[in-house]
Amino acid sequence: MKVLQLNHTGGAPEQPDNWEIEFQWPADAKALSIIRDCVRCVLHGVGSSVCEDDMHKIELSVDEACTNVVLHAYAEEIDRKESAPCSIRIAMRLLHDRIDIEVSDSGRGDRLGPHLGFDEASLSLYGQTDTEDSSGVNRPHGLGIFIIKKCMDEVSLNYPHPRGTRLRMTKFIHPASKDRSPASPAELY
Amino acid sequence: MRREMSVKPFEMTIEELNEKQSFLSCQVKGYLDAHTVIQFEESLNQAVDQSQVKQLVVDLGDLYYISSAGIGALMGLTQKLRRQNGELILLRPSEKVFNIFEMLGFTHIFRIVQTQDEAMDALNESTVE
Repeated sequence: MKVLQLNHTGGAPEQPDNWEIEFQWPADAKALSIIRDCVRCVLHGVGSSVCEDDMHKIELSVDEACTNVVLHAYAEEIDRKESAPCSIRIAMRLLHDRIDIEVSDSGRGDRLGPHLGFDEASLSLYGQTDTEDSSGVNRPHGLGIFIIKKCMDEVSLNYPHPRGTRLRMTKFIHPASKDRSPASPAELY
Repeated sequence: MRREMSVKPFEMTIEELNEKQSFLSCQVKGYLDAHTVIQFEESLNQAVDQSQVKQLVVDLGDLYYISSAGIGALMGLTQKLRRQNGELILLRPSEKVFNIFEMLGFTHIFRIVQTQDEAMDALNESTVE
């Protein structure tokens, strides 16, 4: 992991704490669990009052966004066995009433396009269609984006020129109960 | 110097049990994401393909995290077993995992039970059906 940026403003009674942190990870499935831990640590560490339910939804949404990068963004580079660095950039902005997160990559974003189709209608049709892949398994496409939309309050996806994908998502904070003590490492999951 | 990334443990065991009827029993511990799902999916597909038994109980009691990769694998297995007149039963998912199933509407797709006895009843029902 590489921390690209860490900014803190505010702190005075009339100005709430604002935090910005930006970090970069290898686009590797092995990194996903560490990314989740890191997101939790950031949310706990800056003293944000996010309740456990929202914490889990944010953690899951970042995981889903990063999973899409790992699975789709750099398939072309991997096919060509290119040695170019395949990375995931995560930028988090923690404000007093919301958390903005941007997950981006520099791979071929349009690979994600065909996989955005899962929705409630797909769910209701589950089992009625036969779309087996080569392993004989009916695998839903676009489930990750479906989960992100369920978990976060605002989601947008765009493809900056000339390449890459940028997923922006926002969660409005529902404060945790005031008697919640700081999480111990064992409580992180 | 390159340092290997450490990951949290993922463990699973699969065995064929014979109680009121034969079924495959799988216990999963740890987390199920895009990294660990490969082992999970390959092991279960192999066990199902090699066994004559098409009833599978997956104990999720010690699974503390699941993402779309794990849910997708469970959907695929459910469909695969139902095509062979079998069934996948999910046993005692943790609150965190169950809440995700519920939020997404997957409690209508998966057969979820809380106790071993309920799992046996569900297996009997699926066999009768």
